[in-house]
Amino acid sequence: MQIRLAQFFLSAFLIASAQLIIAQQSELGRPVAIDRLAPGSLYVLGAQGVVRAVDFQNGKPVITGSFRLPSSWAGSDIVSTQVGGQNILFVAANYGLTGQVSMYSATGNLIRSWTLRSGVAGIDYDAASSTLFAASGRTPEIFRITMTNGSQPEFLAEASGSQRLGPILYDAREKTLLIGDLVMGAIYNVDIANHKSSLLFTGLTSPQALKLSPDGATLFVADAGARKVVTYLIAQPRTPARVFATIPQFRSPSGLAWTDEGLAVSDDGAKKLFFLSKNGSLRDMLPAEK
Amino acid sequence: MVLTAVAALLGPASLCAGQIAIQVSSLQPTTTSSVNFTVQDWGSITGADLEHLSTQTFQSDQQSFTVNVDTGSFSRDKVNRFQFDLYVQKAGASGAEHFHVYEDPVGVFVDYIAQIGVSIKSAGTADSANLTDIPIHAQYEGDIFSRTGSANPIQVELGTSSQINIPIVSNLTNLQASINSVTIASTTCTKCWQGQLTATYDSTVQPSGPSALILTVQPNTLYALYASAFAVDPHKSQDTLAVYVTSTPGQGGLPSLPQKIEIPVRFSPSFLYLASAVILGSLIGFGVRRLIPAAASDAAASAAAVPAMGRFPRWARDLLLSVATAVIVELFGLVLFNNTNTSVVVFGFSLDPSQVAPAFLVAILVAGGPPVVSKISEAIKF
Repeated sequence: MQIRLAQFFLSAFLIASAQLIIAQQSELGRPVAIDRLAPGSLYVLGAQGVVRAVDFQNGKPVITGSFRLPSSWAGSDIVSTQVGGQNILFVAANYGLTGQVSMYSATGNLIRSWTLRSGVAGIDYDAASSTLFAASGRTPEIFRITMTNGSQPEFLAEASGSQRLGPILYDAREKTLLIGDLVMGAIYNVDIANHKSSLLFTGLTSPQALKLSPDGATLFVADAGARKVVTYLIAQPRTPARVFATIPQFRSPSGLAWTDEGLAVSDDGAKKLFFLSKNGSLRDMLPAEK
Repeated sequence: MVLTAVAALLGPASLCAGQIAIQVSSLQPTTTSSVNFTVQDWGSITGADLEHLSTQTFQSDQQSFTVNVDTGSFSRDKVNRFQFDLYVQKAGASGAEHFHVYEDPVGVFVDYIAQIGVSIKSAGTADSANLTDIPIHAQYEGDIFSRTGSANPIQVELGTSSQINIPIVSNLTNLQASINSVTIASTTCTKCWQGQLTATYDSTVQPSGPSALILTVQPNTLYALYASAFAVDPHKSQDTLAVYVTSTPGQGGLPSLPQKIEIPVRFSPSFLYLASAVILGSLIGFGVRRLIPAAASDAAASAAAVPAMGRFPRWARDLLLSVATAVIVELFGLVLFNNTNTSVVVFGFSLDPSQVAPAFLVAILVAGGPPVVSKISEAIKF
């Protein structure tokens, strides 16, 4: 009798432990940004400073690894790229009022970092010129960081009229930067050569992430307030946005990344990753709906 | 022009959204600080969506609206701004208008829980509501902790590891504070300490609650004695420990910059050090007295007054007398100093008899007697 009771409790403990492990493996926290350098993993940055790698196994998204930023760092943006043939993650985070951009190996080893005194709102990387671009967290300034020894953030331009900068995106085709304004609900265009900024698109509530289509012609924007992913045609400034995806599960879309099958959207409010098809319909999500 | 138009649409705390417009009143935590609220309309949601949220509900003054504060939305955005969501429901309506609110603090203050006023307008209906329990977070945090208790220098015993209890109190009146880290550094005598200066503490401090930092320190005796030799004033510290406390206010506060709490310390020698100083001082004082040539009349008077007899030679009895007198004076000084805080004043300088250097000096003077005192007085005059 006692042996059977012990077997029962042992089985119950093992089942509960296994479920806990599965739950922890699919737990995303509050994902604030995502990025992917095809054909590699999808990297997800959490608000609490945890970076998670997501891969597809048997067609299902699963978390395959993670590492943590220093304690109390609040995640802001993540970029996955290659530097010198090595897979690299640039992670932007804020500690109090100070921003930091850190360069990590894909396994989470810190390589180097840069401090931005006025915080950091978004980052993007131009592989051709080995230059990282960073939008300030509390000022309308945009900084440039080159990948040379001892480099420091250099002031590049100011998005005049902006109230609070957010995501930043390098447009390799136009050699410009696209920057979202979290308060104005607008997208600015900054010409890198002449350091001038202009208003490109309006009509958003709170643009949290920007991504260009593979052909560079269409800009995808995650609009947290409107709970939508919308698109703009780069060649037609100031034209209204088109809705790409608006699914009932959206709470506060925060990040965008291309996958083989379509677009991945991180949602800070829903604490989920949504995997959309190329026409914007929901294909899958992580954690899966119970 | 387009920028101006967009900016005009998005006033700092007022917004016309659909049929409902809200305005959140600014706060002034202190005379030199303020908190403005930026409101964004994030569209309407259904009653079913609203049911899934953990909201705190407030009725407007005239019952025209219900304001739901989503307490689960208290968080920081990508650039560390504090944010939360409000849902405003018209009386009788099932759905609600979703407003996203950002706090824009200016100046230095300590975080607190406040009541904020919201003005609501919709199709000719104007009403207002007071929302309670809203965390207000500073961008530049004031001092989260204050040191309580005496500000006098703390005695740290030489030759042993000791613990210093620093009572503190949280200045956050209605928010918890979490202590993230405590680091300690000497400000004037780094070499006076051995090993790592560490602190233990409770990581959570209740609103306005008391707590304590317990510092574990071990003085480096030789350096500490050297430092104390030149800081003989009993009311002044011989070193100051800077204790840096990094903490985070609850409900979405930002980690503070390290707050510096200064702890003045005085090194307190053990009985052995003090006894050694008194004996050595009295030996030196006695020796110096013997070296000073006595005036002829004094020598004659001395010889007449004290006949040379007994088991010990006269010089030995003199020596014992000098040492005993120095010990008695030191003990008397210690008793007075510890019980009445009366310091020993030598040549106009206030000295702490519990320190090695003053005890040594007093022993020299007592054992040396008037000849040594007058010699030193003469030397000081010049």
